[in-house]
Amino acid sequence: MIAYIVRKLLFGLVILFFSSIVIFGLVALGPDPLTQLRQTPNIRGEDIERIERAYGLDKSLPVQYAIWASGMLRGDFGESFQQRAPVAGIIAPRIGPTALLMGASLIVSVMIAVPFGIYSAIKKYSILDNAGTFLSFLGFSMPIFWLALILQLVFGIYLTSWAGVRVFYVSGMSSGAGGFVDLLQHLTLPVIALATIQVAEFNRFQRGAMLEVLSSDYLRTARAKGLSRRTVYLKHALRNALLPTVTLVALSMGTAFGGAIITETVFAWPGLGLLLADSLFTADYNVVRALLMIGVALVIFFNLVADIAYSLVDPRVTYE
Amino acid sequence: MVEQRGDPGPAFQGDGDVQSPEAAGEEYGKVEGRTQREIIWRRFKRHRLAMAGGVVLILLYVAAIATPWAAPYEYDEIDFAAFNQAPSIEHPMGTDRLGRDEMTRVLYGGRVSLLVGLGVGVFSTLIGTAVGIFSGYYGRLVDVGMMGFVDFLLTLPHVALLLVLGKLFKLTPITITAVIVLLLWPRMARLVRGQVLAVRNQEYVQAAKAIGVPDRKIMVRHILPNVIGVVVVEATLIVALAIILESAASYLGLGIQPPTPSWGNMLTDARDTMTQQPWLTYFPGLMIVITALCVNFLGDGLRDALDPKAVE
Amino acid sequence: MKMGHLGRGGLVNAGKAGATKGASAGVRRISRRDFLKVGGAGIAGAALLGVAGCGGGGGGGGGGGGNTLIVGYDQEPGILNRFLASGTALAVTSVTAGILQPVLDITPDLGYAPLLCDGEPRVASEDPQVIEYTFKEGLTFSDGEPLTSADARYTYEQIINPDNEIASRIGWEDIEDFETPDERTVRMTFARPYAPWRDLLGPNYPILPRHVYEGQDFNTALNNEVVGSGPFKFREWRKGQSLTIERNDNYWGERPALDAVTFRFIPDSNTLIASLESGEAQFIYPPPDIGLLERLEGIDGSQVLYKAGVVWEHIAFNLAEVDNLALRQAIAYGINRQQIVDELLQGIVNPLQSWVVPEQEPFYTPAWERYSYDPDRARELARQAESEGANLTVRFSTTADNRLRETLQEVVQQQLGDVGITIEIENTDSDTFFAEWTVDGNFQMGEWAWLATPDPSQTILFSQDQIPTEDNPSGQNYYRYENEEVTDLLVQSDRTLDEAQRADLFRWIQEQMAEDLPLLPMYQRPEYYAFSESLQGPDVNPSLASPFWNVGTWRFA
Repeated sequence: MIAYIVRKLLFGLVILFFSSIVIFGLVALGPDPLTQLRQTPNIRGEDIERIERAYGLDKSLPVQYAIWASGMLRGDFGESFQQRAPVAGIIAPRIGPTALLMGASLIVSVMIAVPFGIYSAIKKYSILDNAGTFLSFLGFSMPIFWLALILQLVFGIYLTSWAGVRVFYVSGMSSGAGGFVDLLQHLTLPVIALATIQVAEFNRFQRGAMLEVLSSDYLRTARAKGLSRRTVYLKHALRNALLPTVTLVALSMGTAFGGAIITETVFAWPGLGLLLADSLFTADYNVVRALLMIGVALVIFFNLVADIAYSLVDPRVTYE
Repeated sequence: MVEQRGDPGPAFQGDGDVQSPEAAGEEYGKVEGRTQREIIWRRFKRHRLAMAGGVVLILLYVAAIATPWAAPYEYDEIDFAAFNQAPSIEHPMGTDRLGRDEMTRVLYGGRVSLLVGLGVGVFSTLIGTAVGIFSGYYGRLVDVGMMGFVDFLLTLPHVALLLVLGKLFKLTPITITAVIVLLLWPRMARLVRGQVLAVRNQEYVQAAKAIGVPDRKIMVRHILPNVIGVVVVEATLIVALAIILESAASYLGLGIQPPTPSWGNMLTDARDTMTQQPWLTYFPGLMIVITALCVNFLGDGLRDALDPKAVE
Repeated sequence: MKMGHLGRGGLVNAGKAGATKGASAGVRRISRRDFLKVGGAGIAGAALLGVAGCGGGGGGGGGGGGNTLIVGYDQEPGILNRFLASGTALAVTSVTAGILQPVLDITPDLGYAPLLCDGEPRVASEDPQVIEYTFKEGLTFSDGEPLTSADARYTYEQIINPDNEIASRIGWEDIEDFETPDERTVRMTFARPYAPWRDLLGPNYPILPRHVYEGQDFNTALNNEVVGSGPFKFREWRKGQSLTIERNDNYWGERPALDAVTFRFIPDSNTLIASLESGEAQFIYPPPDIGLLERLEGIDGSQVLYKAGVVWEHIAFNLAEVDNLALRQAIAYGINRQQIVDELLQGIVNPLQSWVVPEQEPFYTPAWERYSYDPDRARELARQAESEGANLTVRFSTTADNRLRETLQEVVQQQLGDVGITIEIENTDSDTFFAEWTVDGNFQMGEWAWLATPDPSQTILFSQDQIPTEDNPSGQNYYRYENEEVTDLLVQSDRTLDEAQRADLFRWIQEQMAEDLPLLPMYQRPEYYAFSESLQGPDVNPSLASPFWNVGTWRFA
């Protein structure tokens, strides 16, 4: 097990290394980050050269990469061109909002999708199951920004004018008043938007996992032994059917911030996804690079977590 | 949608034991003498949603092909006498702010969106299947190298990568297709490789090897037929994903660029006036949803029908 | 006389650097860089406008309730120091407009008005040029310290300090002597005549408190917080969410009615409007997309203010390619500009009739009025052009990422098709368009925009020695317009300090250019605000002073 984790970790580091090259290269291929500066009238050539030197942009790409990569090893992500401040300090306050948004939507999704998925599998082809199947596929097939727009319209604008009081906010994370209720009023719509698709995914997945367990030999044996349905389902089936979902949820955490770019943009949610979109459009490349690296590292990390969690919960799984 | 439908990632897809948990059917029945094809077709027919999805998809593609002849107007035909009109008999889906016929634009947009979907589906499948089969069949260093690369691609966040790549290339339907292929083929490769591993050591493959059948032939004759089921199912999912990814890219300003209409950019363009001219968002939005829905149902039906473990 | 003092290439296309996500409208907001270009051109009062738009920020937070105004703004500034090259976005000026004050304000009608100075600044001498102004009595910064000429001197020193990454030093470099004879008086002596000297006293260069910033690194000191003399002072900036300014109780003038103003950063234009609809914001500055107007006007309890802006769109001819006058006239008569404005801009602005905008009094004359839509005449002229050997197929190019322009192209294509002129559309992205096509003359007919500022000079656009060449790559006469007389008069007008005389010259130049037709003016892009009916005070100011130039006088009814 330990050996397996070590191997996985080493493999993860190799991937991280290659990713860093690709990410650095891709971003470097984009438009010149100093375009804005160069187009400023009457800025002197020597001013630009000085800034280029300050940012190390006068050096060749491999050298720039080496500086950037070694900085990262020390936890230094470089400086933002737009905000003239260390990237780490820009990213840090954005982690909380994304974690909150993704965490809330994961919890909501699991709470809805898992029981429903299990029920669907037990009552396969019942009306509820069929409805669930249909709704799940609908969730899969919905462009998230369209869903978000409709939510804003219905629950943000129409509901407010109909009810006469504001129930939900269509943008931002707080109105300044602070407090849990205020947060909830801001959080609800983006969470619904994100959770709709996650529920669809988890539900299908849970249903499938449960179906597989139900058709397995050991369960048939259990039934044949005369154990009650209830015992069979709860004691034997459930535990095994939950395993794959645990894995999936862990993996979903890995894609957390990459997953929220559009939702965060639509709802002006001040998280990592919005920061990434912003930074890309303002050619703030050190921020983009840092965020992409974090994204890759998260995926690798949660893959490992998923593996470990899987082996811990399921004694049948051994890694060699 | 795309966003958080993260790749189930290397760890998950790699360890074949959790794959397609839905696979096992639990219906029991008599086995009759039927050809494989008949059995599949029979099973598929029973999945009504999949049948419906398939029919609608065929209609959509026929409409896309016939659009230049069938469309009532030109997609860039400006008519100021009839701007922002609600749906009517002359304009079944209304008109936009330049008086262009929305139905015509939805039809032309469909050509682009469906073509991107199909293109991504075909190329991701070809590349993914080829890489998956090679990797799984030859194993060892080839496998480690190829799957390392695939894992690496799977690690990069989709929408983020789409954003970066979108900034680098001129945005035409072809480059968008290429970029989305780049994002999606690794899923296919992972999946196929897993299947190949399961088949590779079967007796008939070993036998074929032993009597000196060339690798190429083994791969085509023995391996490919065994993975085709997963490939078909995954291909449908990729098509749906591609259409939705294109609309997501459009929302971020990095999709197919107007004046070439695509469902994604039509939906994006109309969103600001959603309360005034709702038909301009509803029709392209519905087309995306309907198409993705049909493709997903089709995939679900095919999964059931092609499942070798299922019994009738 | 300063010419060709432009930065590299002299292009104003702020381009991708300020691009917007979901830039669906394909329209952009002007950045202060565009205005700077104008200053940068010295005597050339124009700037080339690209596309793209505004970056964005997150939303939420700050203020709420009572007498606090919530503003929805689609772009979050990176830093708050508008002097620096990285602080040229209009958002920077917008959020600090209530805090920092310049000597002269730019009013909505593109005039200059005294703000910190007592009466108008004086031209104390013409040769050498000496400008003198006196601060009002009793000016203070928000911390209670007095604002004096020493602060003006400190500000000047920061601008000319080569260690500071100042966006533009044009004009300032020509100041030979910066004197402060007493606490309230400033006297600037120029080494060379500098006609647009008022720019140096305008909103680009507010007066900074020396006692706060002295000894600090100017490149970082004002990035996250600023202190000024305005009716508001800085309270809080929650990055990615909001920035709040609050009432300055030490304000030297009339104290503002609002307790605080919170700018909430909402990058998505639809969400921005939704935030006004749902009452989460009481004032929004929407992207200049005319399609939004109907929705904004339909919002209960809110109002929309708009006026013609300072960005003017036109159709340009490359005279080296389209050298037949009859053909250009045919095009001018064959394009129904009134219909284009009515349909594409919902008739809220009029067709523009010159390259001087009407607000630039007294220099404007509607010289292009003669080209009212006349398809019969256009057909006749087209036939004449053809008989003179002109090719009736014309290539029409613009920036591919601007929807409104592309739509206009399609309309023009249809209209000219009716009079027998074939238009072939060939566009490219704005970077290529402005960095290569216009400079190299790789277009026949083009469409883009310039920027109008209080000073009307456009010498750099139309003077024949400003045709871009290898020797003069920063010239902006992309029209390849060569008229000796016009060139002479343009140069002469730049040296004429008497306004009436100068206006005569301008009117003559406009008439002559309407004859020659190197361009066909189209319209001024409308600028508009939408806000709650209970809010009083907003007055559309399309200039670099920003919508919040007079925020100190805003109040809730």
